[in-house]
Amino acid sequence: MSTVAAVARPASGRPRLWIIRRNATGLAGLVLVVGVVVAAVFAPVIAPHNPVDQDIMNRLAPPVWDSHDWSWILGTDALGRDVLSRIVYGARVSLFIGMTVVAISATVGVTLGLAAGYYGRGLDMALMRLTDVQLAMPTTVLYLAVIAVLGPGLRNLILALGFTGWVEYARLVYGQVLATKHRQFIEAAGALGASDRRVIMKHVVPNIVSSIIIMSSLQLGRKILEAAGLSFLGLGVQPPTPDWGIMVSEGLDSLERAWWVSTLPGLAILVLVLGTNIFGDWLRDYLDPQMRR
Amino acid sequence: MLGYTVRRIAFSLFVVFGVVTLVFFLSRLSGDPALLYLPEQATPQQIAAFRHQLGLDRPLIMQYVMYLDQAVHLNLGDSLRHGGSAARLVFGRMNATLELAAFAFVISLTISVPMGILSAIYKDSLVDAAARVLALIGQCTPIFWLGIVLILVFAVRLHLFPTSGRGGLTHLVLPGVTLGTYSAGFVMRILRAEVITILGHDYVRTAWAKGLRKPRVYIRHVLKNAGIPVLTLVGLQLGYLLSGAVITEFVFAYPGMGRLALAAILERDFPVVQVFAIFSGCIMTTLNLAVDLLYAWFDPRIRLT
Repeated sequence: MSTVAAVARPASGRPRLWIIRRNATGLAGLVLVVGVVVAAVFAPVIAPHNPVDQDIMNRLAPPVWDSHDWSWILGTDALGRDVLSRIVYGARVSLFIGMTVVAISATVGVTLGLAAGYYGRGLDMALMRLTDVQLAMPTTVLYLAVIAVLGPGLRNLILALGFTGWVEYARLVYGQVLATKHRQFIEAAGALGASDRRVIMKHVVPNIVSSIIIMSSLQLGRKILEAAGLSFLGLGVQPPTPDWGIMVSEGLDSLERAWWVSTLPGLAILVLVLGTNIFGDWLRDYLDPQMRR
Repeated sequence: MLGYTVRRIAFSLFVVFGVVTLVFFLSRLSGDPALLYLPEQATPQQIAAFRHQLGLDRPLIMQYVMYLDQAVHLNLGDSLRHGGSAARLVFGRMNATLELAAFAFVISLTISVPMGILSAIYKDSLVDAAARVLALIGQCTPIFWLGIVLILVFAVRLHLFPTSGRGGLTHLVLPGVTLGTYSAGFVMRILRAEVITILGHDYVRTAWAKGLRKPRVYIRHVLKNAGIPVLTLVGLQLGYLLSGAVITEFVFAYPGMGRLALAAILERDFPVVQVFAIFSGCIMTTLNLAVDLLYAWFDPRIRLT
């Protein structure tokens, strides 16, 4: 917390209040994200029912505030499955997809960005032109093209999102490496005979790691949204897996009679994405004070 | 300006070429592209004949040259499901998608520009807080979910707008709002930050010191300068609108090229998907080119870099 104190110290009381408020917002984001993570980890304990068990006798049972029956707190879907339990288990799917995709994108993008930035030699030129081309394709169109070739499914969804998300990391890291490469401490390390690998890992990477963390936290929410969208379209996770995107689309047929089947899982997506974005914004302000507006 | 324009056009042509190449290599990812172009029930003899006809038994580089030749002539195969040229099919749906995207764009700016400016002028006020929360929620809301909620409230309950299809302006309202919301949040946040920066500049202080009235300062000095950086974002937004159009068209059963492509994926009609990907890339590149040229026209410093 020393950084916060150091930032908060100058000027009058106004910046200090500002920092506290900023931290409160960050905390709110963190609470939302932690809430979803807890639901995912302790899903078997929290969920009142098995998420795939069907109870045909109780199809489209309304939520507790309409039915006053606590057996199905958020109601049931068209197959009599408990909506609350499916939402709780769905947290696992969303977090798993989001984190895997970010990990793949970051690994590929950072590696390519580092190589292009540090070595140059035409690699930088090739990489930047490749990113230009990929950025010229609307993201969903690119996903559709990849999934059209690989076929729908969880694994292919992760591949499509992961291997298209690297561009932003590559650009970011490339720019940062270029800015860092000619600084004296890097040149000094090279002059002392440090190998390329040592210079990159010990001197370059520590200087760009906060940017990568910021980028990852901001990308997480976006990737979760995009994955839910593709699953909603029937191109991602396949039924009966309790995925939030699928749940929204499964509720479409009964939308007029049972609004809760579609809308509540969508609300869960909104909460998680809101949490990751608020937390990501806060993290960016905290790690990179120059970004504060 | 001429030199810059020529350079930008050359670069755009390169990007279009890159998009076409990317789609070619994507189609080869699956191992045997013949399977992508033939119905699932094709016999081994049919597959072999088709491989020969398409030149898939030739070296990859030859296949690529043949493919480029076909792409230049807009002859990218026939739709497996609908018969007829895939390019003509997708092109026929393009108007509907562009109409939806343009309408969503207008809605997005109508919401975001006043909100962004007010939010910056009244920084740290209640108005600012409310606008920022709304913008954040707009950016975090799943587009398909928003569409469903809007249908539920405004079509099913209140009967104000039709639930689906394409027709007059009333058919565009709900999908337009759905699609415009995310980009409204994005533009608002950027515009706000931009206006706040400009309000701190010396020339704005001079304008105040000269005793100019508020509207004159805000419109002539602040908005005009804030508009330029926001213009570049417009290019990015159009790409997003094309992306989001796929999901919006699906939710509202709107007959655009996104819905066509989606159906094509589920029916394994790869030629249509291929044309859709190339068309989308071309549309976005053209729009980006237009934005870049406009940007250079507004701000002559850009041409020199």
